[in-house]
Amino acid sequence: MTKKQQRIYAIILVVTGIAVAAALTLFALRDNVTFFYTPSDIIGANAKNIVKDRPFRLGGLVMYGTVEQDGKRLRFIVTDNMEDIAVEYEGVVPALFREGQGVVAAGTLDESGLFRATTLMAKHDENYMPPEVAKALKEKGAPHGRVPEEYP
Amino acid sequence: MSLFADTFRRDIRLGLRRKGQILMAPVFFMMVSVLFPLAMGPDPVVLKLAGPGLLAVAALLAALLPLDTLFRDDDADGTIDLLLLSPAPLSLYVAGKTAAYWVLTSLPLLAVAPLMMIVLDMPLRMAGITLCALFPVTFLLNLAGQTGAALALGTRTGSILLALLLIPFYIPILIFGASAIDLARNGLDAGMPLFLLWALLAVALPAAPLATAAILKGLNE
Amino acid sequence: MSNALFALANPARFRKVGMPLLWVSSAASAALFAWGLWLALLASPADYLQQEAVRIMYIHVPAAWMALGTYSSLAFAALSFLIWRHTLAGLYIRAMAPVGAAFTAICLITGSIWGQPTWGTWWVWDARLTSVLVLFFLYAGIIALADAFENRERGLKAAAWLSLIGMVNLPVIKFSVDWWNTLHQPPSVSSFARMVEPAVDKSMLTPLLAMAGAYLFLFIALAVLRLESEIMSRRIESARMRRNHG
Repeated sequence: MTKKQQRIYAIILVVTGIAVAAALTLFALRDNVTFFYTPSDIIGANAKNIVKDRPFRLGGLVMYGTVEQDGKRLRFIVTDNMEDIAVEYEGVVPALFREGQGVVAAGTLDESGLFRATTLMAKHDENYMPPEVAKALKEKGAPHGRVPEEYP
Repeated sequence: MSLFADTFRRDIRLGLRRKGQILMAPVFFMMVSVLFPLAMGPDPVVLKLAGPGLLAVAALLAALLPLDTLFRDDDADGTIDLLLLSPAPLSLYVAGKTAAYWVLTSLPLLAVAPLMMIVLDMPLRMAGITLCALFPVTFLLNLAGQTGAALALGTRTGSILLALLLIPFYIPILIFGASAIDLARNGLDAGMPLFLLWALLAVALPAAPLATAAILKGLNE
Repeated sequence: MSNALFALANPARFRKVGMPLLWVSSAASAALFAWGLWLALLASPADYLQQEAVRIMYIHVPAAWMALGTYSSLAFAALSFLIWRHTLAGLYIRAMAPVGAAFTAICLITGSIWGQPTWGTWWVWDARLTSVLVLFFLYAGIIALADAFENRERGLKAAAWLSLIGMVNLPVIKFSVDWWNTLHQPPSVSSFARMVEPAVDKSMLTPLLAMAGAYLFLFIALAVLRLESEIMSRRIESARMRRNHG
């Protein structure tokens, strides 16, 4: 074996070893790296093995027609189209918070199943367009499932 | 195989002669674990939340601390150069060193871990599962650490450089270890992260010494 | 292609090609930055949801692309340095790691500024943000390692090994938004389905691509410039050695 071949084999060895370890790590990280849990991770038949009596983050879509503003208090329902969880929040609402948009709330679940959020973050999706396009899309009936909510 | 056993025996003997150095890692581990409750207050709610993570971070820092000395003496006195010239597989030497290093620095750490669990307000019936997580965690930290130590061999800035190199690779180990202890702490099934820690160890145990040997060889060519 | 690369790997030949390349790419970069920034900051529409904050994206997204691209090029250089011993490839790692770190820093900082009004937070520990931060640490490690040895060659080798090992982080960054629940949105431009029907409106895609071009030419110009100065500093060092010992 020449020196160069030896080097190539050494590098292949190191790279595959690391790749296998990384693949295993990634596989294992699946549940632990989740930034937020969706309602069906928390309740229902497919609920996951997570600690529910301490703060966690709940994510999903703000269900249409469920946002109620009562003074400073905001109430709405987060859904992943399988399960729903009602959320109560008091504080600064991010500019992008809208019905039908993605949202991530951090807080705790109380005994009655109400999620008491201490922070509220809006999740932006991958669609970017000027208002006129959004309006036109809305009028045409939103082709690829996008329903821009700015112009009802 | 005798290269593994010889290296292991020699390093254990050398290590036992320098008692101060062996005690450094567990003492550091204890100090870090004690500083957090002192700084955050002994509120059980806070400790329940933070305890498992703190234990994992303390183990990580303790594993990092004496790492830069791993190959230093053998490099300085020419042992590594001689081994490179000899036909004996360098990976066995690396494996022997890692095993000895684990026995000298991590085993005492595991021994004091139950004590630290008391400090962090964790029930002692969790000791078994905590050790079950800390064992692969410390071993994985050492295996990744030896690769880093080989890369940084011959530098002056030792420890800080090593921390910089290794933190990216320590992060997944830390996430698992902490989550296993955390799930157990909250009375949930910790099987998944534990299983994966051990699976990771099964891969890293043969792969890391080979990689480290390749790096030592490559750097000294 | 590989023959041309091999030929370029010779430092003397590299310098001959390098200078014209430096001028052309600097000019292209400056022109594209002028056009791209004008489009991005003034001539393009605001977003229907993010409003004016969308303009940060024209700085942020290309920086993220370049951060990943620079790292891939480092890993490729590391491979050819470790296997074929191309001197230039080793110098490339040393030269370009700080540039990659700078792109990553721009990406993190602008992302943070965008996140504040849009998400409602400066920073979150989701998989995408964390893995990009890890990329920054990796760049920092490579820079530190390359400089940590008395023997330059050894520093280059160690840095090359680290670049190679750090490659595992690239797929994690790329796919983090698909594999895990993250706050960060999935890609709008890069995937194949998106090529046919991009999720970015054309009026916003043009400035984005103009800025990406500007970054790319900036990258080329910096690569030539920094490689050139690496070669020079090597020459100075060996000349000094000759004078002291010869």
